[in-house]
Amino acid sequence: MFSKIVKTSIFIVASATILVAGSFNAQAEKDRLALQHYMLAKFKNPVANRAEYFPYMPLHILKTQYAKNLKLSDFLLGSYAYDLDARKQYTELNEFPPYVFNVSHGEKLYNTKFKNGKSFKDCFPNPAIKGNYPYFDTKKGEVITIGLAINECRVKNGEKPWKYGKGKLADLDGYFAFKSRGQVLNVTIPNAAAEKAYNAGKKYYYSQRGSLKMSCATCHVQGAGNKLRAESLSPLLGQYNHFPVYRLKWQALGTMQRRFKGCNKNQGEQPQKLQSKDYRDLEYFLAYMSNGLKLDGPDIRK
Amino acid sequence: MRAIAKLKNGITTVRAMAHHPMLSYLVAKKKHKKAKFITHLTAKYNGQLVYDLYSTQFLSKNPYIQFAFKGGKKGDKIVFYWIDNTGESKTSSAKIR
Amino acid sequence: MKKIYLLGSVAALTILISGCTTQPSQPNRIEMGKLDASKVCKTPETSKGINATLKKASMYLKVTKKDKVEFRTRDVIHHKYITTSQDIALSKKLLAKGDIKNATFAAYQSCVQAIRAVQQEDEANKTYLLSVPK
Repeated sequence: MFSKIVKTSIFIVASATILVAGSFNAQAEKDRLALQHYMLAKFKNPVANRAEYFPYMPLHILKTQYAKNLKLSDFLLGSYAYDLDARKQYTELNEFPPYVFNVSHGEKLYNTKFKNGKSFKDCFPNPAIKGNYPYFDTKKGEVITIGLAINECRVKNGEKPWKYGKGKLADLDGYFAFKSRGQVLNVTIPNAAAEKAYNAGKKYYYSQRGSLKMSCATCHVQGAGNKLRAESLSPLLGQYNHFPVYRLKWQALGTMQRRFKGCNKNQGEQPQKLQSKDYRDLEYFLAYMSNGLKLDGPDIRK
Repeated sequence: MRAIAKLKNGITTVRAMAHHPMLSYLVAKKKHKKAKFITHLTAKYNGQLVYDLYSTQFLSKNPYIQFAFKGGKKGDKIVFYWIDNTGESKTSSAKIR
Repeated sequence: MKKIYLLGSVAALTILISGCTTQPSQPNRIEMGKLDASKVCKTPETSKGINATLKKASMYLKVTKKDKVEFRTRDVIHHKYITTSQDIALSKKLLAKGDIKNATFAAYQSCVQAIRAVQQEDEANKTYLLSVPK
């Protein structure tokens, strides 16, 4: 009798934990689906939706230069999904993309040996890994991005860490992204601490900051499809998938962390150090929002 | 030098990109390096000159060129050659598809 | 004789205490969120007033920097804005007729924006959920 009670209670507790374990991403899933619903509704018919979503865009531009009925996969192109003139220029550039040299340099770095004889192959046996980054390390209790993982590999093998954001680290990131093309992004939220990191990233994204009092959402959620001076703003959906990005402004390949720095400066706030806790939580949030879409990095942007 | 050469209706269209930093004098001074830019770039098909470019510091990094000529056969090679102001030169080739 | 010593020591003590209280104290983060910035940063158009406000501003900026919300206005980092304003206020040549007004405004702005960054963060903590698509 007593053993029966113990067994049933153990069974109840075990099943409860299994049921609860899957619910750490419940709110995140709601957010993700709500964002997809918002974006698909916004870009379904810009002319008809003008009053609600594009109140300051001239009507003739919406009629002649904007695409209609965007599908989820179209959002991987960012602002080139809806801006038809920019998309023509992008397609032309893509015939001979400027990042080819960065990707081949990244491949060389991947195969170069460290002083102790090992190479990146020992840390990352298969270079097609970007579908699972960033991930939440449950033991360390922090978000691990691809840049952090690359430098961890270097430090573990006795080499000096690379600078984040550009240069060799961006080239290796570009090689990983090139090899991971076509994979479906799948970022997971395994426990309560990960959910906390996701919520911290979400709060950072939607908080107004800087002397211009703009949040990331001002431009990339509410402002997506509109113009900021002469630039067409890209939507949040699908933004993570095309990084690292060859930005024509930089004339170089740069990672997502590098873009955070630039965006912070645009908002009027002094940026933090790359790969700080806030930036990593933000990258975690951004990646989760684009879950389910295919990876197509590296890519060209203005 | 990466190049793509396509034959269509008797005309070969070539698009190519040279891997070169193309530092102008002002940019090089800021970076404490010597100015380095391609001065002469040519492309030859069967020994015949099909593209000839003389440049100074006005072209930007990794210059991209595009040209077309009448003729060409599938499988034949186009030979590119460039030399820059420091004396470095490079020869490479691409097949016509 | 004793009375003189007593009076003297009382006078010295009061001077000491008043000296300590006229020094601005390190602000508390929660208090900063409730300050009325335009009153606190009001600057008289004198070199002394400008310097006092700039000292206040760098004091407030310490709290702002801790929260990592330091402003960067038109590519000028806030702490550099304060040091440049201090250089102008200290230089007698630059504080000519027209410049005293500009220097006063610069001091006022450097103080106000340091407080505004922190108050804006408090406001964002309450309102950020409003812009999430549902």
